[in-house]
Amino acid sequence: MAESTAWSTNAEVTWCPGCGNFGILTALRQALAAARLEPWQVVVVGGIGQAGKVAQYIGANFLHGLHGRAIPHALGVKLANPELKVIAVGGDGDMYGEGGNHLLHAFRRNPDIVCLAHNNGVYGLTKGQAAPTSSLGFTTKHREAGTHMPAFNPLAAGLAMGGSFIARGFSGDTKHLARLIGEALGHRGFGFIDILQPCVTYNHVNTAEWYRKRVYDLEVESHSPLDADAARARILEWPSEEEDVEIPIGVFYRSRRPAYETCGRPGQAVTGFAFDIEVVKKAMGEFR
Amino acid sequence: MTDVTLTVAGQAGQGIDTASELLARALVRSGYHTFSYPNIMSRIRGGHNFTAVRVSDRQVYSVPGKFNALLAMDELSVDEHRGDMVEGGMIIAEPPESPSPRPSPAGGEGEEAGIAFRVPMAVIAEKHGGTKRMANVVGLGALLALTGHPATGLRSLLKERFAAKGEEVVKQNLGCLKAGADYVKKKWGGTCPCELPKQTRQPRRLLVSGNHAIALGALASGVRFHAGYPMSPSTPIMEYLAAKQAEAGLVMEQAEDEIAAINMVIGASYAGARAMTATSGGGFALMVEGLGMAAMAELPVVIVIAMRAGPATGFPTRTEQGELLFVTSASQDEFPRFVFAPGTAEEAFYATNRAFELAARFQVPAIVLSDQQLSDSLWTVPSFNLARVKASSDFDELLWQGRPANSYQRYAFTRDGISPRLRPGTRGQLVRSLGTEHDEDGFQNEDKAVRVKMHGKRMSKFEAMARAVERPTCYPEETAEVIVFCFGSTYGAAREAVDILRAERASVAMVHLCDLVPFPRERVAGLLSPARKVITVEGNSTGQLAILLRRETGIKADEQVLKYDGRPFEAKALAEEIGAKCK
Repeated sequence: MAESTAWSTNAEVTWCPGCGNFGILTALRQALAAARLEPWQVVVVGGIGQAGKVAQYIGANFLHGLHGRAIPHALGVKLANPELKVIAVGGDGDMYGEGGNHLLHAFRRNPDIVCLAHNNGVYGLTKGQAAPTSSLGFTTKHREAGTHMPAFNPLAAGLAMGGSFIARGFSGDTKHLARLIGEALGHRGFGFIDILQPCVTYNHVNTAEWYRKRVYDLEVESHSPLDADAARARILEWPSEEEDVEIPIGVFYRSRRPAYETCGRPGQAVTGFAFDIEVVKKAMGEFR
Repeated sequence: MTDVTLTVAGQAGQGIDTASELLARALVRSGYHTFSYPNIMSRIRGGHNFTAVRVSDRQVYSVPGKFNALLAMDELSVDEHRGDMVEGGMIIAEPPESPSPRPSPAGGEGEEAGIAFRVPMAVIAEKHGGTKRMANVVGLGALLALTGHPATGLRSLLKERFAAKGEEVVKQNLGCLKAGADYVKKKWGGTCPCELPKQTRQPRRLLVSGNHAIALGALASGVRFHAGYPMSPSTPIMEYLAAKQAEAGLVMEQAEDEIAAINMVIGASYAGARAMTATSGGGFALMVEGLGMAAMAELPVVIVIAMRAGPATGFPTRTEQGELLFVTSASQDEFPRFVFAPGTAEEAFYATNRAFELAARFQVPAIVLSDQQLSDSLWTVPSFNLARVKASSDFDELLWQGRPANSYQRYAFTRDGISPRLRPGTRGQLVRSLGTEHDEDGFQNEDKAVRVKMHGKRMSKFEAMARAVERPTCYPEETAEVIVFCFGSTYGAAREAVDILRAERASVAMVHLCDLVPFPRERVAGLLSPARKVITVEGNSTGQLAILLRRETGIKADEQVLKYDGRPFEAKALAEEIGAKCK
């Protein structure tokens, strides 16, 4: 079994000191180590932004692609080779802005992919613009009037789209997060985790302390993830514009659905070179 | 020599496509060459659609001029095409519901151009087939009877086509076919204004659309993954591959948009699958960032682009060659790519194979540039020669057996700039691919020396790529006073225009370029420089091929023939235009 220390690389980590990404990286490494996977069996697909860099910091195969496209890249990998363990990682701009359409359809498709959405409610690498998950009225340096849209609720979208594993974690609780990621890795379907994290440089509202005061564990409240109605109620607790709101973390909803790559597919990897001249001859004959 | 045109016309939903396809296939099976061009409106029902089937005992390559026969499924088609008929051509149509204001005698007697044969197709269909929808088959029976061509081929075709729907349906169709023939034979006896005699030889040829030729080329190249979003006129490619999934062991994924499609293809290519997508210009516009991603990550992808008139939605179902400069240069920054613009369905098959093989060998994107005319037309082609097809593995896993763990370098510097590929999932090795500038190991790197070296590695493939492409096609010979220079589907009309002009003793030949990027500079310059005059022919308004020619070789086209009305070039009209510019 690979140790968690083995899930690292020589790449220089370029996040700001105190960034929430560190907690997520640690939790992911712990979960991978606990999952008894070998690095060569795993593909981490990264979007672009601070979150997507995780691909280069985990010592596995990686495809570090384009902003917003981690999900279609991951789906291409998984459909081509279902034996690979595929993890898509991106930020809130990646997953909820640029790649929002892909996310909606990923919930519907339900491929056996783990999807980690780092959600700090602000754009970091482009220096502080509002994110889809910024709260209503969130002000930025050049938009003092604040945003005029309510925050995007990815979990509600996931539930509406038939998502089979809908969870939220918090970068400040790595132990809890590692357990969540472990569950997503074990889930046969689209294992989606929205991960709350502070941005120490650009988000002065939703700080680590702000989150720590508000998060509570669904498990402690004996929430049943098999109960869709209960899940809906918990999911709608936050984002909310109320000041002293509590934020649930954990698995909101889970269901059994066939994994997409097994539905009407060859069922095995199509990465081998297979050329059957008889198939081509027959295909040509059909045009006589 | 036989060279006649039989046109089927009517509203969308009246079975125009089926009838014209059955007609062409029956004639191909009995030894004729055909070329069918569907003239379709972008709608599901109604409107006016027609498909002209050109029939000849020689190979034909382009859209026909006037019609020798018209099977009109509605009265609008009669009015619409009266002027398109040759002198004495026959029009098969329903008897008019009310006395027509125009002189339109009910069959057999002369009109200005065209003789009307009024056949109550719907009534006959209801009597023999039980439904009006089989009126097109009645019409086919009547049409074939009036050409004197035996109906045996069409009969066996109907049996094959409707076998799955049960014996009753087959019987009804055969009944309709015969009833249509009987009606005209009884009423007009031996009238045969457009004769199609039985051919002595029936070689086994294919009747295939350009789209299907491309899809077959992909199958023959070992394609294992296709992701796409439907867009006319490319959609039949993904539909065909979807139907072939189980048989050919491939994955066809209908993506939520073209951006997802190209990025799924990139993911599949990274995983090691031979992967492709097909779209039109608008969809490709959405894919361009992904194109650069494939280039940066050095992942082979094949992109088929079937051009239509644009910009934006343009003419969804009509042809144009307006994206030449777009596809040859679309990207951020620079990278090597292949672009192939085949002229015929036959060439499209082999060019698609080249696209897959060369994309894999050089680990670059390859584009097959088609257009609505090439993609939607039905071509008669000899069976594709599978011995000419190259299909080789992209990986040599043996190379990595016994190597130290974690020693694989995805972007290792090599003499030819090509780093060996490895599939992720190979025990003990890690495959790191990315769109960010990187070092040999595949980690992000912003060092300027690394950047220059890595960019240089990618660009260095270009010279070897230029040596790998095929020569231009010269017809009928390499040298002439006037060279007609063209690319893509203009091939057919240009070739036939050259035939027409040479029959008038003009010294003219055609040079057709399929393998456009890398541009074969020396070869093209060698062919064009000695000519007294170079005339470019292309389907756009600015002369993009002429611009490319000048940019690559310094040769300035002396004359240009441009067309941008959404309709294909027609050989006779083109010959006149070229002839006028030859002087």
